[in-house]
Amino acid sequence: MNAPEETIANELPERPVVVCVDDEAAILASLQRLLRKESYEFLTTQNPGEAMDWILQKKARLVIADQRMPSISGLELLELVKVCSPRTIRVMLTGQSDLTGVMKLNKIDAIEHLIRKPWDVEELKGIIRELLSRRDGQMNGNSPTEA
Amino acid sequence: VPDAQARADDKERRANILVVDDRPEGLRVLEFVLADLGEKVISASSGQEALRLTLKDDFAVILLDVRMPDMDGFETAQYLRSRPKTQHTPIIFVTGLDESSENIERGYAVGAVDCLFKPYLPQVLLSKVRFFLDLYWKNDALERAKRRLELEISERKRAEEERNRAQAELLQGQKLQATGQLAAGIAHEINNPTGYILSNLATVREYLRDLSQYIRDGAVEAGSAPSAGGGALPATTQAKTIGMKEVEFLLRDFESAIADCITGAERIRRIVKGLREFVHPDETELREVDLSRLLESAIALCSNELKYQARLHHEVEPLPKVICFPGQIEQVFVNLLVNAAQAMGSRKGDLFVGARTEPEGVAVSVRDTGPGISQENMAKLFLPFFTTKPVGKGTGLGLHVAYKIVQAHGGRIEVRSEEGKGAEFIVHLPLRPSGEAQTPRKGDDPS
Repeated sequence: MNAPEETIANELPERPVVVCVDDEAAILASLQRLLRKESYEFLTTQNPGEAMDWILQKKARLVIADQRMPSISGLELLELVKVCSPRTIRVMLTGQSDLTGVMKLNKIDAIEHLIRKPWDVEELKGIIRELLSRRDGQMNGNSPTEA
Repeated sequence: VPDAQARADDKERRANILVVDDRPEGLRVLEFVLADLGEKVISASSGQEALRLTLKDDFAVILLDVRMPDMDGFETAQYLRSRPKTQHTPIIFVTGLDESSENIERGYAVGAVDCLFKPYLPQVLLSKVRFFLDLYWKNDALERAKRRLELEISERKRAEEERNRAQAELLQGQKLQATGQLAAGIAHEINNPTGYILSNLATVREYLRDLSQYIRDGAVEAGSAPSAGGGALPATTQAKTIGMKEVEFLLRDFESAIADCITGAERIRRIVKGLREFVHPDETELREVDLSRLLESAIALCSNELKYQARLHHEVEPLPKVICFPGQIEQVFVNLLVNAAQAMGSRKGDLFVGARTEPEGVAVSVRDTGPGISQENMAKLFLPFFTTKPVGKGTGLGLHVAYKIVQAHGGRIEVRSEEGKGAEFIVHLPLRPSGEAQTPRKGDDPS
C-alpha cells in the first residue's frame, strides 16, 4: 500500500486522508485507480487493524469500510471509529443486496453513508468529494486543497 | 368354494338364466323347474327377443329351443356366438328325442355346449344348468378378485407416485431453501467483482483517452517538427501531452486492471454456472459429469458462507466421470458444505474438501473442525427435521435430503465424528446409479 509522504512544509495545507479497507485486493486496486487523481490522499488496506492505525495517526477525514471482512465486520470497525475518531466520516461499502439488512444498516448511526457494490464511478467520486467538503467547517479551518 | 364365497359377499346378487321357447307351456315348465335354483329366470318367446335381452343383460346360461318359427335355435345360437358379449355364454339346446343326429351335430357346430332331450327329467335339467352356474360363479369370483387386485395395484401405484412427487417436492423445496439461504452470499459474491470490473472499465477508458492523446500529440510533433523549422508548435498541444513516466504507469496499470476484470468475470461466470445447474427444477436425465467440477461449482455457490467461516483446504484428485443427476449431487455438496461452515460457527475453523477414486466409484469428503457430533445425535442425523441449529438457521432437511439423493444414486453417506474434534461426511457414489435409480426417482425412506 502506498503510505502517505510526510509533508515537509508545515505551512502547506495537508491533503485530506481517506482510508479504505476491504478484504478483497481487487476492490482496493480498482478504487485506488479510480481515485488516483482526486485531491485527497487515498490509502487502502486489507487489514482493518492497519486501517484503524492510519485513521488515528493520519487523522483520516473519511473511512470507507467493507461490511463483510473475515476478522471484523465493517460495522464493528465503524463503531470503533465513531468512538476513537469521531470526526472521521464513516462510509460503509457493501455488496450485500439483502434490502432489510441494508435498511437496518442505514438506521445505525455508526454509518453516515452507505455505498453499494457495484458502485457508479462518478457517483462515488461525487459522494466522497461532497462528504469531505460538508465537514470542512468543523475541521478547525484545515480546509482541503483543491487540485 | 369360490362361488359360494362370491355369492356370500353379496346375497342380492343372482345369476340370469335365459330360457327361449316359442311355446308358452314349454317356457312355463322350464321356469318352474329352474325356480329351485334361486336364480333369476328370464323368458323369451323367440330368437329375436332372446337376442334383444342379451344386449341388455348378462346371462350365466341360455336354454334354447331348437324348433322355433322365423329364427330357429341354430340361427339364434349363431348370432349369439358372433357377438363378443355372448361369445362364451354357454348355450344348452333343448330338443326332441326324435331329432336327427345331423341336426344335433349342427347344434354343436353353431356353438351349443350341451343338449337336452325332451321329455327330460327335471333333475337332469337342474344338474346341467347347475354345472354351468357353478362355472359362472367361479368365473365371476375370479373376475371380481382380478378387479380387486387391479384396483389395489392402481392404488399402490398412485400412492407410490404420490410419494415420489412428495419426495421430489421435498428435494426441490430444500433446494429452494438452500438457494434462499445462499442468495445473499451469492449476490455479494457477484456484486464484489461487478464492482471492480465496472470501476476498472471506467478507469481504463480514461487511460485510453490519455494514451491516445499522447499518441496523437506525438504524431503532431513528428509531423510538424521538420517543416516548421522550430517554435511553430502550438503551446496547447505541448501542455496536453502527458509525461513518459505517466504513460508507463498507464500501460502497466492498464494491464493489471484488465487482468482483475478477467479474474472477476471468471468468478461471476463460475457462480452463475453453479447456480444454473443447481436450481434446475426438473432434472430428468442422468448425465456423465466430472464430480470435481460439480464440487467446484458447489464451493463457488457457498464461497461467501465458507470464506468468513473457515479456511478452505481443497484437495481433489482427477476423478473418473460419474453418471448422476448433477443438480442433485451438487445439492448434496452444497448441503454438506453449508452444514460444515455452520457447524464451525463464529470461531473460524478449517474445512477440508477432498475427492478420491475408490474401487467401486468415487468418494467425496467434507471435513470440518467444528464441535463434532454427539453419540446421541449421530443416530438422528439423517432424520427429517432434526436440527441442532438455532431457530431460523436450519430446517433439518439438508442432511435428510442429501441422504435420500445419495441413496437414490445407489451410494451412501459415511459419517465420522468425535465430539470436540469435528466431523467428516464422506459421500460414496458408484460410477453409475445402481438398480432402480436408473429412472429419475427420488429415493426411499431412510428407515
